[in-house]
Amino acid sequence: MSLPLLRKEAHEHGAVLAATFLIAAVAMYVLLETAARMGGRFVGLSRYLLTIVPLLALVLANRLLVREYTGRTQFFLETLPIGRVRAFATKWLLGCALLLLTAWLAWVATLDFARRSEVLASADARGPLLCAATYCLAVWSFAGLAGMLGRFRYIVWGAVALAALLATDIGGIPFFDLPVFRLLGPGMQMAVAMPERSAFLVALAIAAACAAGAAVLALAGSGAMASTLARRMTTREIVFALVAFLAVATVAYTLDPKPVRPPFEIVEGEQFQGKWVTVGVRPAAAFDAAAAQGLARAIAADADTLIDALHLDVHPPVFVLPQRGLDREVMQRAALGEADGIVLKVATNAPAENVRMLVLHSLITDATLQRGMKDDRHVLLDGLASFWAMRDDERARELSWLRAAAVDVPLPKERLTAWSETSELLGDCQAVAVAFGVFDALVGRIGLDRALELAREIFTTPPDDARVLLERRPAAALAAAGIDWNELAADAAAGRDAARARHAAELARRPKITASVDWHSKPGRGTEIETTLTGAPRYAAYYRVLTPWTTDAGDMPRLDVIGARGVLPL
Amino acid sequence: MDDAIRLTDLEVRYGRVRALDGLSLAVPRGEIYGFLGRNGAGKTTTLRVLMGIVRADGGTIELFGKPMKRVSVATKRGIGYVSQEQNFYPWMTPRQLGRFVAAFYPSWDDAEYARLLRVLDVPPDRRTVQLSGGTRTKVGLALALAPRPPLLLLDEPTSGLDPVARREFDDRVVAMAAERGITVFLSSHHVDEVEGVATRVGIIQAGRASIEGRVDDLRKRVRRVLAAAPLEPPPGFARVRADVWQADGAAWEAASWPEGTTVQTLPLEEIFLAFARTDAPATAAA
Repeated sequence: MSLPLLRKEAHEHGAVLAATFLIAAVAMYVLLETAARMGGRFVGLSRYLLTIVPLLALVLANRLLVREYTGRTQFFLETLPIGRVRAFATKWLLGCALLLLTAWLAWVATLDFARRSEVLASADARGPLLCAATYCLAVWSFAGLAGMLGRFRYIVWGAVALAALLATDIGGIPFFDLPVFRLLGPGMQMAVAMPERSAFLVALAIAAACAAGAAVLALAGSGAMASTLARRMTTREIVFALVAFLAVATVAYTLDPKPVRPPFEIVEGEQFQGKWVTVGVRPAAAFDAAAAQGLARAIAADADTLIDALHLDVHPPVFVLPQRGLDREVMQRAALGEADGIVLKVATNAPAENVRMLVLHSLITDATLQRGMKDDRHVLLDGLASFWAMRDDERARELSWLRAAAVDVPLPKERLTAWSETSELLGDCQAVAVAFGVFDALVGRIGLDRALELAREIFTTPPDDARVLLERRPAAALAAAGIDWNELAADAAAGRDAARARHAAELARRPKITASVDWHSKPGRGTEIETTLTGAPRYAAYYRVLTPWTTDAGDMPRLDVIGARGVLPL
Repeated sequence: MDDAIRLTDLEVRYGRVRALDGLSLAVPRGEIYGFLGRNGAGKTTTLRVLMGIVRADGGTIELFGKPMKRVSVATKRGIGYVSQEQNFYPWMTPRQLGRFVAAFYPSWDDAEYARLLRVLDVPPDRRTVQLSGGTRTKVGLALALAPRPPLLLLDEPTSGLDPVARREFDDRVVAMAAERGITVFLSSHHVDEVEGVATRVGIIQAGRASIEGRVDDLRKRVRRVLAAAPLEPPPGFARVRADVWQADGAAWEAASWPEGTTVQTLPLEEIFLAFARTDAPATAAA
């Protein structure tokens, strides 16, 4: 230590540091008041160490270490008879001592605060003090190292903060399991248990490494490195740093992690425990217990075999609620905010294969974190779900081909890879039939085993971080399987042509139905919207009144029409 | 043993760049040594080695007869140093600077520092950031002289000053050196300044000493030979550049030249240019 240097530092930085410490004291008081309401003896100290100490370390490093280089006064100091090591050590130790002093004062204040409401022996409080001291040492060492990196110091701070964020948010590592921060975990906050010895050793090792790094930067090359780094950042460096930071943050948050939620609990209805999933179906009027049990078994068999075939790592409970009064084509999936599972509301007379298909669709959608619904694979998802639900039912398969054959719209590759738009154009019934046809054509071309291998690749659970960018696109996976989208579209079209030939008689008996929607504005009566269907004796229209505030088009009212013409009740 | 500074085969490398490449020179005690060189020749590096700021990669340093690998803190207490830029703490006044610097020198003389500030006409209580470049340089000189060091190193101290301030500073240096009998090592690329101050001169080029000696001795050793016909240097003579040759003073006196040959003595600036220029010499026709 050099006393003249210490006096100089006190004179140069005294006012700024005094103001900073005053702010820190006020912050400490606020934290203690807040923490008192939360319970925990040293919560206030822990918060102080987490929030204020890094800021203090940053300020101290800037004042004591960085400023000497950016102001070029280091060159003057070097002309004086004081060794470079001694000058650096004096500044480093001064900063460390000041940070430890503030931590000690915070500990004393916390102890005093805690003793107002409970008896707390000094011996019990020594553990948190040791944790605080070790933590401060590590933080100061890091701040010193970052400070010696001159113009890059804030980048280093930002990188560490980002790394901590990624580790907790994406890596799933609890914050208080991170190195150094382990010292401030619940054990320290409650003063009930000291962190493990390894927590101290890791923090001390980090402190030693950072201190050594700072010393190397200060002393190596006769101090030239620190002087060079202290120069201001160029515009190019600033732009590069910002872009790099934003790029990392963006890539890191490409996907939201799958929330971990407890399984939905099935407590009623006919239940069946399959190999992987539990299925419950509630009987209802016109849907007795036997029918419910049969549906539950069928769903469980579908789900279990599909999970095995695709090697899925999901085992959601499935619950089906048949209800009278629902349209037989309408199926609704409940949004479960707090639980994991597939809960469906269906009509009592809903086709069983439709219910089973929706369960399988939901299963894959959940397993792929919704990525199965992406347009470059959506048709294969719909196709696989329907194919799997009808895999042993030749009659249902042929009916599906018949429905697909009834589609008059040409379906080239572009229609298949923009499936959301295509399925809206076709309607649910025909869209599912076409998707089935596509997957059936795929199986016909490459065989079931390779089709499932392809599905395993496309419908795998994606990593919820930047690695998702590295996954192979479905087109590439198809090419690897020996087929491309054009060939698949052609095969599906050929399948539809064959079905048209097989079912020419039925298709010829189809009623010619045309539909139109018109609006009229009549004086005194306002606007009327009129639906007209020719060729159908009765039909239903679902509608919603659109306003600037309409955000959800689901759950629409139904208008039953007898005859050709209906007017929506606006 | 009478040399204040003796450098032998000194080497300093910055990465692949050889800043000093076998520099050897000797500065006798009590002399004002002018160290001439172009920008980047290695002058500042030499001074930084002598101040212990930069570590030499090779060679030896002798200060007042003591050989050393690196100049220690104790040795630095016997050296006064004024650099090109005065990087003082901007918030300090000359008086505060004196108090701060004094703590590092056991031989610091407060009264002398106050006298120096007075003689050099430096306001003692104005912040250094408010002082002109010339006044800051004078503060640097006062700080360097107040510990009464036997050796004063001046690294182009007048490079940013106007001619009047430069002359004033040089006069002070000469007067104080004479008054105290200290050794002064003055680095500069202003030949006229060195010629007016130094008793002995060394020229450094690309990290090596090209020539050194007393100023009048250099004038005797390096001369211009203007001949009617192309002429090769005879034995004992070496061509420095084009028609500038180098030899012992005695050799010049003893030499006989063809008819029509003129031998001129040169000012120090011409000698410096002959050693320091690296471009191709102009032809006779040009």
